[in-house]
Amino acid sequence: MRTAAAVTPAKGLWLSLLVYSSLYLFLGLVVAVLLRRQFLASPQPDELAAAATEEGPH
Amino acid sequence: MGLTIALSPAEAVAVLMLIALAIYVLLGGADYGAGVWDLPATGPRAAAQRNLIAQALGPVWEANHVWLIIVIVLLFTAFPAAFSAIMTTLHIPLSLMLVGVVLRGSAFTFRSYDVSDVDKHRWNRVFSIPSVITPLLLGTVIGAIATGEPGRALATSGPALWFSTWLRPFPLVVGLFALNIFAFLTAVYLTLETSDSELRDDFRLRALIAAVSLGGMAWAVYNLARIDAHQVFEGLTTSSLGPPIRYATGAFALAALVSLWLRWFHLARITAMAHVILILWGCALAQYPLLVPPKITIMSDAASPLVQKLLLWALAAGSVILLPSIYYLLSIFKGHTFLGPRAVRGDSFKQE
Repeated sequence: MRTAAAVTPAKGLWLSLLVYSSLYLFLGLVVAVLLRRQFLASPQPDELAAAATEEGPH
Repeated sequence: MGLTIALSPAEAVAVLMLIALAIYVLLGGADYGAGVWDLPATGPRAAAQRNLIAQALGPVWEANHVWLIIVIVLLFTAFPAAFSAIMTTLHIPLSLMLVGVVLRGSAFTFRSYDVSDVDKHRWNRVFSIPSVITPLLLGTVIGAIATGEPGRALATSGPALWFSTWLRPFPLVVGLFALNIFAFLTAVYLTLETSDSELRDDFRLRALIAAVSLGGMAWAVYNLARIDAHQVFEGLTTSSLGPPIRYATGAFALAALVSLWLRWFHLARITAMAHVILILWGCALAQYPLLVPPKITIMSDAASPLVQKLLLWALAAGSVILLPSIYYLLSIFKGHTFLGPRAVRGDSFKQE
């Protein structure tokens, strides 16, 4: 069976392709934005070092 | 193994599909219901309600959807013609459902990783709105299959954009029925998730409302089936098992309602689960042996017996890992909901 023979008889496949592609593009963008926010909200190395010396070794 | 001797391999696979679907409804359904109750969270305890929902759902929601994957894999391996008929003629509601599943899963995860409260609230919406729409579509697909329209459409029409297969009164009412079932189950489950009596009463009230409206929905589905899904409706009325299943379903519904009223929440949960399982078995019994009415049956459509036997072995092997894992997961995260008023004593035993 060739791909052309196996294709669904449902019409409007381009719309499905468009919807799924934009959905995953959107999710990818969201992941990038969230990672950046996490990165910006996390402490800088010097802040971490300061916190570590304040607490002292366990 | 006595079961597989009495049933053909294809029938055994069909029974296992139904069991997996029942577990999906009991676990995954509650997962959708959690999103549903997130929307109308209001009043002084709105934040507490949302927190309870998120805590109850957090550790288990991904595992809950394993059961739908099992049903779909079994369907396309064991009954390819039924799979192809359903996936082509109902591809619009199924695609929308898939988008809903993806969106709510991602939103639930994004919510935990976002920084500000405003953004978290926004992800909450992206989680709860698809939580309403996705079960609506799942029910619509099941209702549409029962009408026989998808089966007829595939046989008669050429390439098409299929709306008439599912945009009909009966499938849409079955969609609402499914949504109502899930909302009811979740509200009942949530009464056992908290020790705060006010919060518990919020969900007790929601469960009672959902139970009453479920009765109305069941009546609507039953009467619409007479017109719109008569082949399946006849299956329910002519089968000798039909009346006992119907009476038992009603009895468990009443038992759930009474035990909620009397605040016997553990009994309410068991009777609500039995009630929902019986609804599902009633539908399956009505449709048996049809997979996709009017023509595709378990016997006519099954892949070769060798495939079915291999599938059964694969399922047996898989369940050695899956079942203990699920048990372990639920006993860790849901164990506390099995402890009753006597739990305090049980806890002190554990600590000794």
